[in-house]
Amino acid sequence: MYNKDISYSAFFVVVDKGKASKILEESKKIGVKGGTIIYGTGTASGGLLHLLELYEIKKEILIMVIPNDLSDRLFKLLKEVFHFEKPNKGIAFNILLKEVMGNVCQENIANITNRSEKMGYEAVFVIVERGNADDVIESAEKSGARGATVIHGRGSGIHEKGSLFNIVIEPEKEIVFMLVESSKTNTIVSRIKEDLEIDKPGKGIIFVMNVEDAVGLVE
Amino acid sequence: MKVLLDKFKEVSFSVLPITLIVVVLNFTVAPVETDLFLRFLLGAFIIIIGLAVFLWGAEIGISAIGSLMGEYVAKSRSIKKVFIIGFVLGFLITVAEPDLLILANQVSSAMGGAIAPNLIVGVVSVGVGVLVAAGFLRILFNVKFSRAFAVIYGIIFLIFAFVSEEFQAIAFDASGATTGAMTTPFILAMGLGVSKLKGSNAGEEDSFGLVGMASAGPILAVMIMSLVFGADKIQGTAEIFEPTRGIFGPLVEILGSTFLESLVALLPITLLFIVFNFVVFKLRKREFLRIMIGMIYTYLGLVLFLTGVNAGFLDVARLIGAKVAGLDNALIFPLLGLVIGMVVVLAEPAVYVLSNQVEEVTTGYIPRKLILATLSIGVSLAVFLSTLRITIPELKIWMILVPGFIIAIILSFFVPPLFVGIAFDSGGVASGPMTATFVLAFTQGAADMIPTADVLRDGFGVIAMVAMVPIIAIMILGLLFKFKTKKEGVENV
Repeated sequence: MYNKDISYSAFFVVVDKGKASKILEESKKIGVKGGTIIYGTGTASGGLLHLLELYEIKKEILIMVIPNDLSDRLFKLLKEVFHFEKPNKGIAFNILLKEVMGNVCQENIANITNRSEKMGYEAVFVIVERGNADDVIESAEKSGARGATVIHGRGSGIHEKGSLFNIVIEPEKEIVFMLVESSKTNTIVSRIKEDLEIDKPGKGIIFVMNVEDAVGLVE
Repeated sequence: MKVLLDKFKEVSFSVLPITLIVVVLNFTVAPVETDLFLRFLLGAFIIIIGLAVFLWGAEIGISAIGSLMGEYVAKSRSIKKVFIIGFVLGFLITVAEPDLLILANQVSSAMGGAIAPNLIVGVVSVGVGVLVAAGFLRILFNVKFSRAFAVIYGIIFLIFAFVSEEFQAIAFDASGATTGAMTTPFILAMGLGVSKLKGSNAGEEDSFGLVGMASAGPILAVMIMSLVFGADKIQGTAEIFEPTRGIFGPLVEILGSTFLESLVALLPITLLFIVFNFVVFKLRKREFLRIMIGMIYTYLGLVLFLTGVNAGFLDVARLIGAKVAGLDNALIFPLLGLVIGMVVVLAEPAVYVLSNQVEEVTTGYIPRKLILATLSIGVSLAVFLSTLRITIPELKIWMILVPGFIIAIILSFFVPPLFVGIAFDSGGVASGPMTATFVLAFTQGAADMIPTADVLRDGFGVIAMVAMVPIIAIMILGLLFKFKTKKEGVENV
């Protein structure tokens, strides 16, 4: 069932708080299977406002894992419907993924590109339902990961369609992300996949990004 | 500037509905004198500015302090220390609350001067202190919300049976008066601070519930006090109501007194923070300054908001209440109660802070708008029930409160813990300065008009309703969430 012929990418959208859900909703209409939203803050420059402490701007970051050929249509959607070409509307970018695992399209997908022989680092992202991050970290550490960071977010995939009075309910998620040595990625990813049954529908998603360079990691 | 503009826009949307309703009433069934009406409009304008500034200040000032204090409490592993700090913080934040002093004066005169107002303030503050400390211990010992609240309200209703109807109402009103605009953001933030250190899962649930615990303090304190001092019947009579005249005069007069009151309210916690900063937190200068600037915003915003509410809204609400209750059509009064309840809660500063925190803590899983809508429905029903109590003399306050809280406690065992905390918090939050002035004045005005009603007994107790119904409303929302969040189509694959 693994679909190795398509390549996937992680699509990032950064917008003002409150706008990500709408974008996710529209994206789903053109074939995106799901997305996760996290909160962040951005700053606007300006001397006097800084002095008066009037500068904090709340942001939302939307992360969607998509088949690569969908990215053009997504960029088009962001321009035509959300006017990203104008200033202060938001930014979007996508990053090619090395590996994706999880039941995103009711079919399992994995191992897209060949592993590079160079001994570098890779960033592993695991998005699971809230409450499961501890299990992810446990199985990652058992298989050689040294540490992990958990981000709290919300999101919805194809199995989550709850809504209340026209407001979409996007269940809470936890995003575990860790930098691991390329040689260990395979072990870690498959261990997490097995322990958390990621390839069963609605359990979560794992994706791996290539990291060019990294500092601060203790051997 | 965008930040401030956005705040103004949001705040306007919360204050304009209630303003609009008064304007419509003024030109239809309940015309008020021109000077009162103009002062009301001016008051609404001042409230919008005050609320926007206050909320901004609360976010970077009072909430930041509360969060720091909460974290400090959670770090101190000794139970004795947690209890003492919890008690001192709860006591300090309450003892300076201006609304509490007003209430204490009313209670004191109702008891025929048997107890000095300052003693009442002291007793209520001790009550809050003990329960905030208990709330901290609940978090650290992982006691379930539902159990904690079942025990607390079990005790409350045990004592309730021995207290006169007047003091039943006053006790719940005291709770509403204490968890006001200033104390709520602070206690909310303390809960957040404590829970931050508890890790991802338990932390989210523990972010809420501390306000709910704290607001039980005054209820217990006032009831126990009335038993100890043997005040079984209220002796005082309500003063005959006379609206203040003029447009600018009353505004300026109230501005002067709130300037001082708000300063007194903010000083203890600010000084405590400064001391803590030098001894414990040792924040960088930049962070410290940001919090202090936040406190200045909080102060200015609070002064403007309270001035607008007290000078602009109080008289108009009372007059409208009296006029509507005097109409031939007996249906208009309860129906209007329904509508006023629906919009008045939107302008509560603490509701704003709570709903924001809910959205923030759950990363948007529970949207702010949904909390607001639920509270709106809850308070609407609460005010409706209060109007019924005024028009139907046989309907006693316990007939609504006791079953209501029993339903709430039972529900709390089935609802996700996160919602239980939010529910009990919103009970304390919904009954803020806006309700305490506008709705209370509205129902007292009506009680003035209706011969079978008693201003003291029926007029009070409104806040008790407003503090109860939202609890049930939010729990029902929690149940809906529980059913709606289930994954679809998974079992078929």
